[in-house]
This record gives sequence, structure tokens and C-alpha cells, in this order.
Amino acid sequence: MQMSYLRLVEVSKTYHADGRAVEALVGVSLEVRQGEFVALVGPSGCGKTTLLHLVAGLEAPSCGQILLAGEPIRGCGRERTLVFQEPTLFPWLTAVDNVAFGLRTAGVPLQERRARALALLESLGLDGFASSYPHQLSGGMRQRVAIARALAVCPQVLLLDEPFASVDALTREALQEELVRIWQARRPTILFVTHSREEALALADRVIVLSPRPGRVRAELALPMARPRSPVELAPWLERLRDLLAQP
Amino acid sequence: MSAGLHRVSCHDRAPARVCALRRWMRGALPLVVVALLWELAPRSGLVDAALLPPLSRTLAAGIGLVRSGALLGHLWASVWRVGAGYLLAVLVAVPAGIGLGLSRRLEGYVSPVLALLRPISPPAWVPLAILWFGIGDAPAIFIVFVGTVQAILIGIASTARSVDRRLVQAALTLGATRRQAIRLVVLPCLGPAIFGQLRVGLALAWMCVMAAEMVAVRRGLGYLLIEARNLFQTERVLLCMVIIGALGLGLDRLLRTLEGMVLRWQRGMGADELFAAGRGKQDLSR
Repeated sequence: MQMSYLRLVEVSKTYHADGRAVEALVGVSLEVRQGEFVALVGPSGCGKTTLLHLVAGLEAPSCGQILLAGEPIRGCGRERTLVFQEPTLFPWLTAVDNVAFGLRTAGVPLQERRARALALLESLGLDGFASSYPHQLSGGMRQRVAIARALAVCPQVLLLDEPFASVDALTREALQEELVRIWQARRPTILFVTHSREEALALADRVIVLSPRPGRVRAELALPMARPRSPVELAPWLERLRDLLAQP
Repeated sequence: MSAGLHRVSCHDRAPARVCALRRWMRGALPLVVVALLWELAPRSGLVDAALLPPLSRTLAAGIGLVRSGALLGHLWASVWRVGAGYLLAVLVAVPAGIGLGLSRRLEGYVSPVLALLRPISPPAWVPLAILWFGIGDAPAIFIVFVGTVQAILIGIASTARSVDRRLVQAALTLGATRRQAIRLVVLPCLGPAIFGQLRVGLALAWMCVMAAEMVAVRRGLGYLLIEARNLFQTERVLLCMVIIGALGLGLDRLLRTLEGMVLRWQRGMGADELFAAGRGKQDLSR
């Protein structure tokens, strides 16, 4: 628990477009303990999503290294799953088969993977909708299915890219509670990108503040309080975070 | 599109069978009108019967051809050439089209060649086909192949390019290999579009075989057509054209049936066998 589990060492990412180089991230170093819930906040365009894509293995860093349990990561892997901002479910698969997708690619037999997917859907309150197609579900339900899909392969690291940005406030609160519950039950390491200061402070053990583009780690706040956290409790933290984000 | 319109216009309370009958009648009516005109116009002297023999005489010519057993042989020859050339084209074009759509680099290499080949129409290939393959089935099959393959290939490549990249990324982050991502995500995404291209290709194949049969062979519907013209048998010419149209339509229907089966099978990998139909099917999205 004490040793850092996920390590980013001087990670930079530069995109090349039309002969111009755009720096998305510069020299980002980060240490995350196993089972820790870390939120990443920063102004839009500061490279938060890029950071998650790098950890997920969808893209490779231009320089620097990303280590998981001491090993450099290579490409995508089931131990690091990503929940996108939009649910990005497979529209031709039912909810249960969407959730079972990762198990299918791992070669888990049909009956078993469906049973496991169904259990996950039940734990997220979606047991009545297992055979519904994504277009038959509401936005919040779709995002639940997407989270279940990412959890089904029992990842070590769960990467969430503003997962609740596209749902209404009520659904958002319910989903936040569920995420905390899942995290407490399974203890995956979580990297959670959000543009909501309140959300970051309510959920995370630690909040990492990134600077405007090119993104660097500007500060971090460690939050020792137990969850659920009251707004009163969070007020001073919110103040600090606001100041940190307001700096040019 | 038209099917959707028909469904709306059909009365809500009418049983499905009545709806289907009405729809069928709506489709049949113009055909009946055309048939009547075709029969009456030459008989009444409105048009020269030597240029447009009435429908009944055309059909009588058909009965004669069927009785002699010649028609079936010609039909079979055409269908076999279309089948062989088209199947070859599909086998090449579908994987190549998907590969081309997914790989920028491959596209860079291949697209100049395709751009150069594209303006060469199928009949323009006929002389080369005869030089290479002589007379018989082979040149006709070759022409069907070259005429169809690039159309299907280009069509599929352009739709493959439009596959939602995020779905592929989602599959990769869930541990899919590249091949799994293609099989489990790209192909299902492309399913309907691929069938659309296959139908376009089949119609094209059917046109190509006529072009080929008019010169390179001594059997087939195209040959029958050109022979009838040489003998001034207008009935036969018209008969051949009707058969060509009807058979093309039949082949398209066949492909549509196949499409329905395949797409349903793709969906059938869903949970329907596991969960009783209807359970959990409520629509809560509104």
C-alpha cells in the first residue's frame, strides 16, 4: 500500500498537426498508491484526457515512462480500463453483452461471462435491463452500463474521463455514490478526470491540479476525511482549490 | 424510405395482412398499366407493331423458347458467370475495402491505382478479356469481376473510414486485440453498409455480364439478345430485356433476404436466448 503502484515519470506528450507541434503535457510526474482514488482537475484543454489515454495505452508518451507495479506499460490492457465521457456502448449489443465484452475478448465462455455481467448489472440496479439495447436506455443508465463494462474485467486501474459530465445533476449524485460504493468494495486504483471541483473534492483521496496547456502538475491536495463528505466540511478545501485553479 | 411511408399511411386498425395486400396492390398497379399500354398501343396502331410487338406476342415467343429448352441454358450460362465473377469480386473487395478504410498508409499506396482504373468502364475491358481468355465463360467472368470489384472496394473503404473510432478504442481498452476489434466492432458497425455495397455490386455485375455476352460468347442472355436483334426478332429482344430485369430484381431480393438473416444473426448474439422475451424490454428512455 505504501509503495507507489502507478508511476508517471516525466511524461510529456506532443501532438503534431499541420507541421505544428502542440504540447499537451510537459514533464508530468505522478505517483499513485494501489487502491487510491485520485482526481485530476484542470482547465479544459490542459491534457487531462490525454493523460488518461496515455495510462490506458491508447497513445504512447512522447517522452517519459509510465510504470504499473514497476513494469512499463505497453499498449492497452485489461488491467487498465477506461470509461469515456460519453458511454460509447456497442449499439448492436444488449446491456449484458456490452458488459460481457471484455470477458469475451478474454475468452471467457458465453454462459459464465453473461452470468458475471448480469451480477454486475444487478449490483448497479440494472437487472431489469440486461436485454435492452443501449438506445432503449436513459443517459444515466447507459453510463452505468459503461462503468459496469469497464469493471467486468476486474481492472487494477480504473480510468474515468469525466464520466458524469453528460448526465443531469440528480443522476450525477446517484452515480457518484455508486462509484464510491464500488470503489470501497473492490478497491481498484482510480484516476478520475473531472472539471467539477466539488466532484473531485467529494470523491477523491487526493486531488491533482493541472496547469493550463501545456499541462503540468501544479499542486495536489490530500483529503483525509471519510466519505460522505458534507459541503461544510469541504468549503475550505473548495476555496483552496478555486485559488489554485485561478492562478494563470 | 418508401416502406416507412407506406406503413404510416396504412390505417392503424387494419390488420397486418390487409396492409400487406394494399401495399402489394399499390406496387402492382403501375405494372398492370404498363402491361396494358404495351398490349393495346401496338394493337390499336398507335405505334408500329414491328417496333413494339404487343405483350402477348412477346410472351408467346417466350413460351416457344422455353419449350425448345434453349432459354434455360442461356439463363443458366448468364447466372453462372455473374455468380462466379461476383463471388470472386466480393471475396477480394470486402477484406481489401475494410483494410483500405482502416489503414491510411495502405490507402495512400492503392488509391492512385484505383483512381486510374475507375474511369475504365466494363465494356472497355472486353477486348483485353478476349485477348487474354479467348471465347467462353472466362472472359465474361473476368469482366464481371473487374467491373464489380473496384466499385465494392471503394464503397466499403469509404464506409470503413467512417467507423466510430471511440468504439474501437473502447474495445481496445477492454483488452481486445486488433483482430478482435475488427471482428467484434468494425464488422458489426459495417454490416448494413457492406450489404448496401454488395447490392450495388450485384446490380453492376448483372450489367457487366450483358456487355460481355454481347461479344465474347455464344450462350447467355446477352448473346440471345444480340442474336435476336440480328434476326430482327423484336419479340425476343423485348423478352430478353424483361427476363434480364426480372432476374436482376430476383437476385437483389435474394441478397436482401440474406442480409436480413445475417444481420439478425449478428443481433442474435444478444441475450435473447437467455432472457425471456419481453423481460427488461421496457423503454425507460423517456
